[in-house]
Amino acid sequence: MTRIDRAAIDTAIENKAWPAALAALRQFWRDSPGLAGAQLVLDRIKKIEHGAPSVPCRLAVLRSFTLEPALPMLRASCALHGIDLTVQVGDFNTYVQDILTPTSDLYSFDPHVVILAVQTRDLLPELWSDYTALARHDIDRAVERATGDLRAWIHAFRIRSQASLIIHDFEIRAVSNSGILDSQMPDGQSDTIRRINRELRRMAAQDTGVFVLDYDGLVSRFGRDRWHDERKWLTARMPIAADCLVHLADEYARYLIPLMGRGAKALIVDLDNTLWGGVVGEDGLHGIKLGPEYPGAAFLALQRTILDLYQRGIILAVCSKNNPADAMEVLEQHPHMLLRPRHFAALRINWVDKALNLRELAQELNIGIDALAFLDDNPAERERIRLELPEVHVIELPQDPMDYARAVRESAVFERLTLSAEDRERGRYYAEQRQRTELAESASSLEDFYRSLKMRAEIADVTAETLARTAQLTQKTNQFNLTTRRYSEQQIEEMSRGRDWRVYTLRVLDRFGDNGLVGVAITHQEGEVCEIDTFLLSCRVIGRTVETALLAHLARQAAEGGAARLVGSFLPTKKNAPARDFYPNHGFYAVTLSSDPALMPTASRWELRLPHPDLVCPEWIEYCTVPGEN
Amino acid sequence: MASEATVYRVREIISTIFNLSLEQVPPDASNKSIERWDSMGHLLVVLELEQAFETQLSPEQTEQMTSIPAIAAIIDAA
Repeated sequence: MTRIDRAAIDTAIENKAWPAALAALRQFWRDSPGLAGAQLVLDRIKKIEHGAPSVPCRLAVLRSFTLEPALPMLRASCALHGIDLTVQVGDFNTYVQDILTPTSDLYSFDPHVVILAVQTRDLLPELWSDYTALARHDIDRAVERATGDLRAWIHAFRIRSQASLIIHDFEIRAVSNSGILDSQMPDGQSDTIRRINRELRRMAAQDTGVFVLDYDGLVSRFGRDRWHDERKWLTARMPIAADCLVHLADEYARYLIPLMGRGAKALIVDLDNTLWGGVVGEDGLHGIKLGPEYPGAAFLALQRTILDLYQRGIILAVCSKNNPADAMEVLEQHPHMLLRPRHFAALRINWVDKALNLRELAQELNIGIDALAFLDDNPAERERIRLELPEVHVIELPQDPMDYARAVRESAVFERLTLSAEDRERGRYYAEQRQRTELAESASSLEDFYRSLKMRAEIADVTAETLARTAQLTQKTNQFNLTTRRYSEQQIEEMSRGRDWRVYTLRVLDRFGDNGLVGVAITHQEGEVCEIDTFLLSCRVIGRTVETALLAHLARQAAEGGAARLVGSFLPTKKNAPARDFYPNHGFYAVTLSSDPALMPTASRWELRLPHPDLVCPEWIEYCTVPGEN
Repeated sequence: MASEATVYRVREIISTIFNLSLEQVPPDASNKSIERWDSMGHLLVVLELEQAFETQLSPEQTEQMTSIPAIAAIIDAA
């Protein structure tokens, strides 16, 4: 670590130049990840007063080996992603008791996330060390025991906790007990361990909130020989070499970022020298470098990586200083372009300051500034964004375009742990949204516009199929969200099974297509009071009155269920102003209000007497209920 | 006798790991004077020293590294 970096950070902090301090700290961590660096990051980040508050996350680690030295690095990496991590580490090899005992420290800690890190040699000592001595049926028995144990632990954990569970899979040996002979057998040592891993993936896929961490893949990515440190294993029960601990921490962060909702929703890309080599305005359509041969191949590889993100549900947009005609000619006509106009939800091809463009893009896409990632080959543009919009995730690009694809691939903010149907279709939704906006601009009155959309609202109880998306909406929706309560899939599932609880989902279709699942409401009825625990709407359909359709449905259901009052709270955040007037606009009376809500926006409570004949679905929305599982 | 540069570097490393100022880690500091320098703290110290000085320390060496002077002497001898 260099003293200059430290000094730069401290000077920026002294000058209260928060974005500069944060940028310096991020760069410092990129340059010198490690134990000492981690402590410095954790110490300095507390002094930086940057905009977005961190989300607290309690992580419990159950383990069979020493991994504590990786934890400061994990906490540092999380802190730079806006996650305030508290870690509890279980004792060596007590994970079985911890999981099976309802009163264990594990459960009293009430973690958001639990990592189960057990080595092959600890769970399966006979397969790890004595494989050559085992007969066929011994091997089968060992596999059955291991998979049976794992299944029982997952089951016991699920009964006792709603936390997400991340399980290390099992690494294979660098050199198997029988040497190269192992590869000549269909059921050799490596193959047997892989069999257990396959079974583990199957189990995890069947359970909500259970995820597999490809530990074997992680080890092999960095090299089995390099990963292991036999001396530390024998002296301190730490099997991982000091310089590889940071990679374990990084891998954990890849899971925590999407689990805590700190990932990026959109990637904003530059064009010249980013998506292709050269400058189209100077080199022309046929002069730019893009194609299967070097150097164009490097840019093609980057486009392929970006296309992967698009398939994963990341929204793409262009922000480029260019003449629109030149740039569009490449996007539309260049024979080797993989990314075409239809992949981009928005285009900003102009000579305007990029920070301004990014602000506009966030608004147009209806997502927060902190949900943007920015890709640009020009270090000056990156610096501009870092200082002007410190919430944006700026991807640091290496000098050589051949390393661009890798830099994007390794960005943890694009990781996803589940892929809903909506994720896969998101790109198309946004393209359709562009057409809707064009229509809105041509429609004479707002009501005409609503009518012309030919909207259809489908309201249903949450089902196994919609569970993932429902939880995702509670975790990611910031703007039209009355209470901003974040729920895991397990919590939603539990509520939907609860006697007095209802979890409603809203799907909206219109003449341009299916908007997908875009609204969630959760109610809880006690006697004659029906309380709205959660009411949210995806930004995709804000301003189209579908919220009225959902609320009207809630009111009718509550009245039919014997409720005399429908009650809801508005809990203000930095982002949910669009939902502020939702209750008063629908005839609710204020129960409690702060003295001056304009000056001091605090929680307010609202009430509606039932039945309420004025609260009906707008006439321009065709409305239907779809029977759910309940 | 260890070099002053090594002593300084070791103090820097120890101070960063335990989140202390350099002044709180005098040249004669040890695991007795620094509260968080327990067995896990010691592992952190060893890992960081090995990386900073690009060396591998034996279990016998790490066992003796309980103070700044002892660490600096072993590093310089290596």
